[in-house]
Amino acid sequence: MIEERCLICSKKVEWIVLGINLGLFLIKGIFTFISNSRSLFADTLESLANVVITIIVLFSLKIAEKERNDKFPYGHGKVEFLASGIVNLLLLLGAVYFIFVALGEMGSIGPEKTPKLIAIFAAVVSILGNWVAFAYGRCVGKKVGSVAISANAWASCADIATSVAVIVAVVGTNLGVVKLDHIVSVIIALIIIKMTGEGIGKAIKGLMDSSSKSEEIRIRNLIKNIRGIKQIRSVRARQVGRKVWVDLEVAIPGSCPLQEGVKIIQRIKSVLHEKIENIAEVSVQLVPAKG
Amino acid sequence: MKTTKDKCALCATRLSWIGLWDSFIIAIFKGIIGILTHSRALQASALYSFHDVVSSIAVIIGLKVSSQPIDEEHPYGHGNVEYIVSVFTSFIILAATVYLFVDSLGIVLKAKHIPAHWAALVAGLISCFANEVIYRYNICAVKHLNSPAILTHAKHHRADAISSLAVVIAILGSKMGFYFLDPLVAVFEAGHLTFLSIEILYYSSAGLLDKSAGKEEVSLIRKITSQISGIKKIRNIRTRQIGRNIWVDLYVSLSGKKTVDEAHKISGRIRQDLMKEIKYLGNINVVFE
Repeated sequence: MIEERCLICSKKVEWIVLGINLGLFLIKGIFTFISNSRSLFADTLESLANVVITIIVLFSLKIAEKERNDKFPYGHGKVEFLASGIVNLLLLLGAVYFIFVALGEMGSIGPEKTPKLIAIFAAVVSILGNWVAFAYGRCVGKKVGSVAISANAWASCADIATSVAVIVAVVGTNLGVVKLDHIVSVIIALIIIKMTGEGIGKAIKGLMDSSSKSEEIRIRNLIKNIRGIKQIRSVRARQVGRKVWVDLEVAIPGSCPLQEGVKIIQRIKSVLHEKIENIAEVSVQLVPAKG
Repeated sequence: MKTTKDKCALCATRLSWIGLWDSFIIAIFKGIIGILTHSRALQASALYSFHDVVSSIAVIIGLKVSSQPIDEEHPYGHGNVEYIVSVFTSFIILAATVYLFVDSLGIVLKAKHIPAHWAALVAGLISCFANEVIYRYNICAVKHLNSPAILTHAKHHRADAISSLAVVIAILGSKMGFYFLDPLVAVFEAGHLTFLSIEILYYSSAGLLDKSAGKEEVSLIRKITSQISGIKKIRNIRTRQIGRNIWVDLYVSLSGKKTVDEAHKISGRIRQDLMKEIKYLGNINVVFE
């Protein structure tokens, strides 16, 4: 079972992350003004992007909470896959843009004004704030199985990386090493592209109702010893957000009356609901066994 | 009579490809000229054409991938690919249009304009002409084939032609001294396109969230199923759209004395009757409870 305190956390985590991102956006914006640092300006934009991302995630969590209705008979859980796909796509586009900017600037002659060292302060605050958001989001995302919350945690992680790049850039330019910051930011952008690519892949899998092999094997093992079942024809499990929907096809002797069959179905259901905590519903089709 | 119809059918399939390439080339053409000449209206018009390209590609990918058979990795088939393509691409287009909208609005309000180059005018004319020709061809095919899909396609090209015409007027106007016309046209086009993208985004997202089939289909399924003898009660009908197909979960009560063999025959009947009446059925689960 999911612990009560984790569920409480899952309700407030995104609001806290939103607060952190808004705060960081303001702080970095002010320090960009004071310190003339180009890289801190880029970092400020990233915080703004994270504010937008967090709003998308909050919105999706609101939708995911809605009950099943006539229009959406399987619930709204899959909106989390959609949100995580869009969040990762935005991060990916941002990283690609970042590489182009960095490569473009590498060609030109160094910055006109040396950024002041005070920019480092803002970057350190950003690292700390984002670390809190990342650790919190990751914990909650894992515990309650929410892909949207996890995706946003990775967005915070990406911001940590850019803040590190800011420090390298500011120190480097003050020491006279000009190109260092660009190289660092390109490497970081590449890492972000790899991470977000994987995130998009996962989201698409969820949206396509891809099978989860391990879950199917687990279900097979749980029900194979139930009395009356001749053969398990097929097991399909699909992830609808945090819940799993299961479709089973089970063969029993053809001469068996349906009353008996319904009892077998009930046995299967009670075993699965008991052993697997995130099951939404199980539907069992009975077919006559051959011979 | 039959030969003309065949000719039209062939023409229609070819037209969808010609239309796609035409939109694609014109989108890039208008985009490049638009950026070079700083004509916001032409940039907006390029996004318009690009929007057409994306929707056509989504349809083609949908047709290709959805027809792949069900495999172990994807026990529910590949139908959702079509929705996924539209959601992700609409999102990118939406971002671009919102940016252009804000940018153009800023120019209109600042009242500091530079008229666009004559090249933008020529690009607008070419695009307008090409789209109008393709529209005429499509309309010809529609008259003979009565296909709603081709009709929407034709309308897209008409809209594209009109948007290009607006660009031409805007640039002519700005050359005559009404400098605000170019960004103003861009504001309107970007605004309209934003609505279109949101519409597609909403529609495809709903599909990805396992939206149920229409009310008419559900009640048709209920009607057909209830006519089959031996069924005591229909407990529940759940439908969801996977791409173009409708997947159905039927929960039905039978008399408890019937054997599994008999029940299986009834479920076979249900499948047969439903498949006969409703064209786009993916899979039917019949669960006896």
